[in-house]
Amino acid sequence: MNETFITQQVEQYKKNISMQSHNKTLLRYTGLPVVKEERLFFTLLPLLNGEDWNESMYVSSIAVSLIFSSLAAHDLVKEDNATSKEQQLQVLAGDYYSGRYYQVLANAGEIELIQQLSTGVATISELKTRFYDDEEYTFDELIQSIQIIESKPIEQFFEYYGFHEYVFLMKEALLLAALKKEYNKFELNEPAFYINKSIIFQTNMTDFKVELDNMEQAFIHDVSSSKLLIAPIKMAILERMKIHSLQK
Amino acid sequence: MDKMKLKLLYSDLKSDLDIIEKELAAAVNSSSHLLNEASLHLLLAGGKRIRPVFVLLSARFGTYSMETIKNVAVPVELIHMASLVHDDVIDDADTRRGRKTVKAQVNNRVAMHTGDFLFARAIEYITGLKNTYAHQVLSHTMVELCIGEIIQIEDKHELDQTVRDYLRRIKRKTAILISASCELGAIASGADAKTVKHLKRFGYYIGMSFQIIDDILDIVSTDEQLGKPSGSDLLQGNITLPVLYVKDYPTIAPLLKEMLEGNISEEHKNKLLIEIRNSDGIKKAKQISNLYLQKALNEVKQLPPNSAKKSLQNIALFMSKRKF
Repeated sequence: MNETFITQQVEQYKKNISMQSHNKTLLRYTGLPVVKEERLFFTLLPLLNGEDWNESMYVSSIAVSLIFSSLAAHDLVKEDNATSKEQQLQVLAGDYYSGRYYQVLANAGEIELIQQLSTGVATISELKTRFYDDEEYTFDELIQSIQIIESKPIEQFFEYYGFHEYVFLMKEALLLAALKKEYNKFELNEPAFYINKSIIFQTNMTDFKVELDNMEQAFIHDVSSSKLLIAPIKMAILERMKIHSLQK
Repeated sequence: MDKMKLKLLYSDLKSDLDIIEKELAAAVNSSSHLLNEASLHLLLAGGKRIRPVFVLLSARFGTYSMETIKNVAVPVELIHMASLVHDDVIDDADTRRGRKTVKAQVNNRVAMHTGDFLFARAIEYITGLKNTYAHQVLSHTMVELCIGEIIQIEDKHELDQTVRDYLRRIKRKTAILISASCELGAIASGADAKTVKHLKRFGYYIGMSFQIIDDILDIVSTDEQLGKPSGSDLLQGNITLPVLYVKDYPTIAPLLKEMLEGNISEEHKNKLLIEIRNSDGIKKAKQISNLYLQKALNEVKQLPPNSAKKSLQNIALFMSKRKF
């Protein structure tokens, strides 16, 4: 188990996702499906850490990434104007990947997992609208919403196949990665969706940064002291999370 | 479509449709008030509920149990609703059935989340049915629906297309979900394989006829009848069957070219619609719709004796003869 093995597994996984989501018109106008590297890595975490990983798990893991690709495609639809051909196809790309996740699991006969994942997608859609409504959410409520948005389908996938011990670390990592990206974008005056859409974040950026630092310290500690993870995986995780280090 | 007449045709399904309506309301219930508002708005807008009706009628050919059948009738309507919400983003439509669309009420992104929520609820709901084949049918349908929409965007503003291209497109865009509604209703009730096949084909043929009529109505109806501007599909660049037949006519071709280039005046737009209305394109398209209707009715004839046969026949005739 080394970095080469990890990279190969992730690259192969990425290829398989592209194969399962292939449509030549979508490819031409919207490009390959958007998949976050860190999310791919953490979806495969049990496999990379040496757990038994059968065909059914592999197929289901592809469905999980198709769900995220679908949601990511719809996040690229502009709020006020989606009349260009590329934008219209962005809408359909999301719908297509969503249909494909269902089809992949239906062909595998995984009805129970379909049920769980679809409940998760409904929850994510509900939580995403929190950033558009006029309700007053607390800082913690919004952080919790982001965590669910970033990781729910992977959590459900892990739970379904009995990889309970990996859930906490995966959720911690994906929340941390998302918030770090947000913070960095905000600092660079780039569009940072969660922060731009939330007054409570914008008016508490110091708390946001403190929360991030604390989260990062806790995460480094949890990974380093983990009895579950093998040494090369610990190293690989810490390396990957460095990529998302904060702007000083 | 004259909803009163349609309701009369549905009258023996009323109590079951009331259950479906309640289940739909429960299925779209959300912790997000924005989603709740958007979904309830869609439910209240009504719609013909033609897909659940076909599920219910098809299920009569097997062991009819609402507890099982609703697992199919609710999701097919949710899928239809979700695709309309996303279509409104694609078409930049501000009104549908005379009401403001979700994208016009809030914005495109919330419309995306609303559609995703409805799709997810549909899939969640049908998992109440533990039949792998049924899931394969519905998931295949969802993918094909999407491919149909993708092709429609590719073909937009494209005059160099054939009647066959058009028919292939509407098969995926419309007929396949109606066909799946019939097929799934029959599968869920345990109808025999031959009956399932005839109902699936019936759904396909009537779906084709229905869409052709829809495309004719887009041109010949008034804004009030449609609940959206007359000719809006054509203005979006969608080349439908009546237009395909007359696109090269000397009185139509130059106006059509202007429209597809996006610089048509209101006066020329009205002139174009009048020219198409008065041409034989409408009549020819109606003939094709009738051919599909006849094929649908032939499939009904081959179904085993059942009171639902007459209902399927009546609804098919009504759908294909509707005036708006």
